[in-house]
Amino acid sequence: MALSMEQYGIILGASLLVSVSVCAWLLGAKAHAAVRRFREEHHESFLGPRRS
Amino acid sequence: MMNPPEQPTDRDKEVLHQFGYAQQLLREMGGFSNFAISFSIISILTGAVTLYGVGLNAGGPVLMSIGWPLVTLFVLFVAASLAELASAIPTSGALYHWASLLGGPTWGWITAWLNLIGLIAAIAGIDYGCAQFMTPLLGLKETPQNFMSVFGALLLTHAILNHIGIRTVARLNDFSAVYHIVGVAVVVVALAFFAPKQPVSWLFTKTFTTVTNQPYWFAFLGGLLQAQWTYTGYDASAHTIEETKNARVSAPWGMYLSVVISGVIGYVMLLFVTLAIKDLGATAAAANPFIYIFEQALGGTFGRVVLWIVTLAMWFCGLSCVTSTSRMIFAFARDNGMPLSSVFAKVSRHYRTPAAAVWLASILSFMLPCLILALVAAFPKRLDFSKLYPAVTGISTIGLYLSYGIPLLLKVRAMRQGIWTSRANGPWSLGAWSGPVNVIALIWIAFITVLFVLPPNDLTGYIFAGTFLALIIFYVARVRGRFRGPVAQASSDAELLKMEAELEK
Repeated sequence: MALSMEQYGIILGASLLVSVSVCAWLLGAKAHAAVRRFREEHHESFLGPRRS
Repeated sequence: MMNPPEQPTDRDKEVLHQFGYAQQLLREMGGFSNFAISFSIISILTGAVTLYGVGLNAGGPVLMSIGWPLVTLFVLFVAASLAELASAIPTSGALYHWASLLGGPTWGWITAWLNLIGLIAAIAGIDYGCAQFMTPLLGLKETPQNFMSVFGALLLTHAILNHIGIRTVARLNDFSAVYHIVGVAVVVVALAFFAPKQPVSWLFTKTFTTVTNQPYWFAFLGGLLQAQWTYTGYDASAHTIEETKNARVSAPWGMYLSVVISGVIGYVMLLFVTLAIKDLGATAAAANPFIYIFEQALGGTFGRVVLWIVTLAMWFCGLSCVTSTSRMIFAFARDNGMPLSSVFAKVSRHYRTPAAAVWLASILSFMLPCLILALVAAFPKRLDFSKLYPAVTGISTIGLYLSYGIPLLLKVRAMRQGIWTSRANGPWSLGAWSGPVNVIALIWIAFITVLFVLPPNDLTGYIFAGTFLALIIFYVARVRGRFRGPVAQASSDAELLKMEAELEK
């Protein structure tokens, strides 16, 4: 059964919204985990190729 | 075992010392303040509102319902990539400093100027947009002279407040973030309860454009400028990083979350505003489609109240943008990157703010529309003033996004060469996802840079190309071989501590 223009539009919009939400959450969760891990490890600051 | 109590400010100072800088600026901002400054500059009540007509004319309602989340998706990748760099290299120079460390002084210099061009054009766009809304609300005639007078007055208030102190501005920024959320809520509630609305399906199916000489899809892409310009200036979290406590974590979160929250709230607002359109053709043809929608949907007095709320949000946005730009000028001048560097690198002893940089940012922002007015007066047949506002915002978008893209590109190169390893990352990191996320961000930046200089935005391309050419000539004639990139203020901790003690006196 062919989808109407209206259905296409709503599916596209909904897919985009889900994509934005999932990406935002995943990137945030990844960074949050890294911050927690960082507290337990020692890291150096990046001072450039010559100075690091 | 219990960890020892954390002293974020001391650790922040220690990290800053590693980069050879003293703690000159007052480190007073908390995580919320850092988020607030970026959120205020993104300001969904500014970019999405002042360019609403541009978006509506280019793509109609579908541009709001599909275009906004499409841009949000890719901007998330850019923001996350920049947040990682801010966490790794937490200095006020931010993009410029990152590019210098990763690619050398020439890249740093180019990045700094692109960032400055973008920020100056952003202040001009924000405050001029605010003046366009405020002038009729004050009962003044909508003439270029009145717009310029109101614009100048707005800039003056921003410069004075930024000169007086970071505490005042930080409080206003905090208030601004709450104000934006409440402001959008008022707009949405007012439209939801008191305005007649189109059916929801109309948002996703109603394609409309007034661009007659291009296919719809191309006009739609050009209209993405509305969303893309809105998502600029979130590098402010990095520019104020030397004033932020627990900087390596708070500033990246400020940058990232300002985009996420603006994306959600901005989308809700745009949907309700678009649903309130009564007559699409008449709205698109109106001098200011956003004001027209409110006048038609809510009537005179109520509509004016809502427009005052929006206009004040623009004022807050301009205030934050002057803060961010002045920090960028301060950091660049501190490294002798611009003419009269010693003047613009000075910090007011009394207020601990980069006062000269604040005034330079404000004056240059005032000069940009003056230049445009002069151009319009000189070429009345060739230049149309109505096309110049999108041109200014286009310059701002391209300048800023190119300055975001250069350090990202250099970081990807450094990762491939093994110069940048996981040990270089700050606490806020995407780990193994970093490379792919950076690459997606770069592809998007390349795409929009080309898109926003193609017709009908070709004026942006000409102005930007002219400015860039002038910069290259200036670099070759006066800067090459002399500019050394970020300069350590002292060679030892003891000297930096002495500098800080001097400022404390």
